[in-house]
Amino acid sequence: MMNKIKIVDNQIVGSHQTPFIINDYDKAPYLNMTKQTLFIYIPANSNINCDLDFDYQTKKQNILVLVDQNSAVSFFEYKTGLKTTGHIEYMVLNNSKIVINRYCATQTVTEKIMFSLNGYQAQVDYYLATITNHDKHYDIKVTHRANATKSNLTCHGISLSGGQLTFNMEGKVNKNSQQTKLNQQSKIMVFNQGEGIINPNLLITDNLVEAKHAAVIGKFDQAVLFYLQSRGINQSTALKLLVKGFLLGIMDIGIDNKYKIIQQIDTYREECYEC
Amino acid sequence: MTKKVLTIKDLTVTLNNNEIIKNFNLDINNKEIHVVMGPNGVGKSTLAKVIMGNPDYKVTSGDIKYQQESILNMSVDERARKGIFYAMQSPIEIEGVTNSEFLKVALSTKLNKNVGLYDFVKQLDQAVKDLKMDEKMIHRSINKGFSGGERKKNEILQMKILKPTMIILDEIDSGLDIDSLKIVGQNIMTYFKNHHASILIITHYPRILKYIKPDFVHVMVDGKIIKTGDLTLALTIEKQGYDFLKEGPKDSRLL
Repeated sequence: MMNKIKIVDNQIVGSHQTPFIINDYDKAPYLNMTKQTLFIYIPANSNINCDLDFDYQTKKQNILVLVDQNSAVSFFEYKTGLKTTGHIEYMVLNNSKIVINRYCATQTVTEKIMFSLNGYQAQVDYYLATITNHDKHYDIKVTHRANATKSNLTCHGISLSGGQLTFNMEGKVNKNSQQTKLNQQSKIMVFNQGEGIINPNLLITDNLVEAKHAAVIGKFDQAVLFYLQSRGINQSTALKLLVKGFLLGIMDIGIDNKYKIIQQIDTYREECYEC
Repeated sequence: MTKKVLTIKDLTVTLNNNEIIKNFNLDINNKEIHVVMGPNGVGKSTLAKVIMGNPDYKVTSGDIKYQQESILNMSVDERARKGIFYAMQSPIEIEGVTNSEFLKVALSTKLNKNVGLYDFVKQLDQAVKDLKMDEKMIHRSINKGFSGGERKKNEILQMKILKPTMIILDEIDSGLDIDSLKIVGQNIMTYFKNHHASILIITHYPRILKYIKPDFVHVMVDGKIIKTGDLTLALTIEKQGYDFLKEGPKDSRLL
């Protein structure tokens, strides 16, 4: 069953029953967390699928999510608002997998997102879709600390007129982390005065590693626009269709959440989509 | 009553300063089917793209009129909304945008009103059935993972939904197997009869003409029409190639 959980300033809002434990620092004393950190502990053998709403617009936020062994976790996060400044770390232990589908339309963002694959066969699939006509800066890092770990980081961004979007991507494989697989794919589509920066890095210190990365910054293909326009669709509507396809195409989410994202994309003024 | 649908007069077109179409003339009336044939690289597909308004090409002289109104200053989407439909030679794939979503937006834009979901789905289901397409395709990204033949059927599906009056078919037969060619040909002819449309077919081979009977066949060489005839001309070209136009036809009926 899908849960919807809202967390405001380190506390769960409402009376939801959560499938995970919040701020029980004794679950991982070795991490030396302070009480400033929002700590989400996902017990071993969990199977969780939920919508998360972290509300940390007003202050800098540190979040640590620990996925204990043999668990399968799927989060969808939808963020809008004025400002996001935060540091989120996901630690994944033996035989566990976390899948995150995230749509971020907050106006300005400065975020560090880290994944530590600490256990044998730990996996992460991270899909970030973001749109902006302001400044957004994402540092996204995955560290493979154990054998047979897998990461897949896919980030699609739209930098509308006036936007400046940065993806700093880093995939790191520590020594003695063999048979690991890394995949990084980052794409930014820019409009008019919009800017995009991608820094794709792979730091690999072991053999027997399979790594792929791709980084693309550009505009939508004129041939694609011509095709849509040849069916009577005007340029700005065609571009909106392409933006929706580009952002939603990477995410595996339900129809309600797709609809929410489509409505949000429609809030940007026509001028933002000028080529 | 005969009405002029498409009039191309003294059209010259360049791409990167190279003349591709030179003083080209063609008149298409309502309920007429015209075929343009010719060897590779003579400007046939360019002609189709220029009629549709592809910005890569520059019209340096002449005019194109649709229903007696010049369309040269109209955008691509305006031309389409007026009723011109261009089924492309190589329809491109667009990831993330589903066929159904795209067609609903296109139809709503053309009709200038939000099309009701029930009516739209009903029309779409019927068109999919007529073309013997897999129903799942309409929920997939445009042409993503489609075979060449499926892409061509998808073009005809769009034609059936958007209901144009001037249809340009650029090598619609390429990629179609024998059965699919028959289905596509029959669907085009049924549409032609029911909607009193006009058709311009660009092709290398006359095999599609088994199902779509043309009124005129034009041979295009070096950017202009050098010969006009009927279906016999297309069949002669199939047998003898284009060289006979230089040498004179071996078939005495074409002399």
